[in-house]
Amino acid sequence: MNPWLKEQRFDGPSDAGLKRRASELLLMVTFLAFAGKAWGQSAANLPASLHGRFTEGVEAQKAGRLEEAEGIFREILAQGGKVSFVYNNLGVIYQMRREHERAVQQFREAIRLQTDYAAPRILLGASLLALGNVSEATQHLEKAVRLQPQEPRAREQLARAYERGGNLRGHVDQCRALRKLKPEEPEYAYQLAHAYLKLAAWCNRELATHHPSSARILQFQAENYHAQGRLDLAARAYQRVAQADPALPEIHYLLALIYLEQGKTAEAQREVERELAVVPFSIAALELKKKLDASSPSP
Amino acid sequence: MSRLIAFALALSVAGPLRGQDNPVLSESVKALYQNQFARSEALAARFLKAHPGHVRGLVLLARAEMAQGKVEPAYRTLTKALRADPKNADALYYLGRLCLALSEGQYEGLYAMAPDSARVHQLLAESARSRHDLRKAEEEYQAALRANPASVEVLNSLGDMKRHQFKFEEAVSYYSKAAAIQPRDYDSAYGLGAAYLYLQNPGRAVEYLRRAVQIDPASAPAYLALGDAYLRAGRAEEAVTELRTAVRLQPDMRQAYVLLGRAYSRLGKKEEANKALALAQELQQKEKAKLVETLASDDLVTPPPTPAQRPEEGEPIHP
Repeated sequence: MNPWLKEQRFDGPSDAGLKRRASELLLMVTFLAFAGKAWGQSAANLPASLHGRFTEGVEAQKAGRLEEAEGIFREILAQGGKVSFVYNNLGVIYQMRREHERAVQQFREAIRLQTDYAAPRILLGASLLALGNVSEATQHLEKAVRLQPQEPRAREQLARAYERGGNLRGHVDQCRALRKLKPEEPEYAYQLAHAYLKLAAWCNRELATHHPSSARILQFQAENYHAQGRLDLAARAYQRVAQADPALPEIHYLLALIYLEQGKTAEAQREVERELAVVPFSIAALELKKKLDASSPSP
Repeated sequence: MSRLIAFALALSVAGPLRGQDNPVLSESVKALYQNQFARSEALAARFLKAHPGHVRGLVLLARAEMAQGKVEPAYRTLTKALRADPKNADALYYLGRLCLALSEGQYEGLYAMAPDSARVHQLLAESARSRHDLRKAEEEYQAALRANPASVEVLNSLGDMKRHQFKFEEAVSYYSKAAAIQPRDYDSAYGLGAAYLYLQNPGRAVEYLRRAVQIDPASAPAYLALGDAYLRAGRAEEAVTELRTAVRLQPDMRQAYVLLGRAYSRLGKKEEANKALALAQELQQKEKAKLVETLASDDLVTPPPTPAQRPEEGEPIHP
């Protein structure tokens, strides 16, 4: 059972649509690039008599004259031009019209004819994602990434497939790879940061699911308050952590730091003593104690 | 180094001392608390050579790495620990903290490249939301919206936030803007459906939830919500159809069986109703068994919530 999906069951799809939208937007810029590339890469497979017609089809496709392009590609197929990139481009037209079932058929044929052709695998993955078939989409996209590990579009789609399938570590891995491929691309920095945030949230949900009453859950809340500078709330939350698990190191130390910041020296001293009872060799606690002792008035 | 990264790395030395019974591990822990991070790392690595896959050893190694700012190796070490024990509380805790710090690092990179972009504010909002700082999150989402008023993602995020705060009218306003920009957007369709459900307007809820299932026919939550909307609209037969789809897509969806039971009851189909409710009960038993299993874990220090504290049986969808 995927924990992320379980979460979605109650909270609604705050992220699924995001991926879906991004995926569709990406396709808008992807397919034409592939259409052109495919032609360049595999033109030799097409009978020479059909080259000119194919170029016309690509031009019509690029200009958004989809019906005309579809007609041309169908005509090429009927005249014996049954090569993978013609099916690929036909699939792209259906994808542009959001006719994903028809697009899938064309991409499958393109792959059958040329198994090492990454483009239809990426596009097939995208259409399958749009149809909600995440697991098959993932398989094709993984294969596409193996075929073209330097192709960002394959990794972008695979990242989205992993995210939708709840494989958040896989999602992070793909975003990291994209960041390495294009370090100057701000969108990839955003996507990676977003992926890390999602993974962090997943970790906390897992903690809550499998260890619902653990001190770690309370600690997370306390740290959030602390990081936000809400010291009163943080102190109260850390006190609850200490009550829940008196032997958890650092909690009394962090409480001491908060009290020190609030000018409550006596409370800070008490907490640092408690910390040292838990971790007698803690350099941080010993240094804090030294500082507090030096600042407190001599008897 | 930003405050959050510094905070997360400072926390990397926090962790239980209990159970560090192996002398090498104990020595590594001691070194960690004495700020001898490299020595702690070396000792943990030495231990792991003899005990590869030892989760406590891996977590300790990651903590030593984090304390030295070696975030990438720490990430790898913690993911390895979770592969060995997916439910390990310490591995989950430290990976969560580390990911927040890593996200902050990426934010800094993004800020350097595009300082006032919508994405920068969006990320700040997401980060604030993950810390449950909703005021800050809303501020940043609004800033993101000023930078990119047509951002469907941001409009939906604001809608989600308002919906979770039970401010359904405001949620509807944000989702409606998103839906106007992108009519085939699942989030806004689902959000509108769920919000109208809570506004006691099942008719509108049905309209938007139908749209949601058209956009994503694989979404069990959307079918659940649609079934609920039909039930509230007094259309029990249609509710049954949608709820059956929900459980086909997600067979452990207890809420769907509860609603199915109600729908069958309204249709006078007593046998089917009892069957659905029995399945719901069976799933509840499984959930309880899981809770008991969790109770046996060493990490628990306080009792779990009593049944009375849990959400009411059959309560539809959380807003």
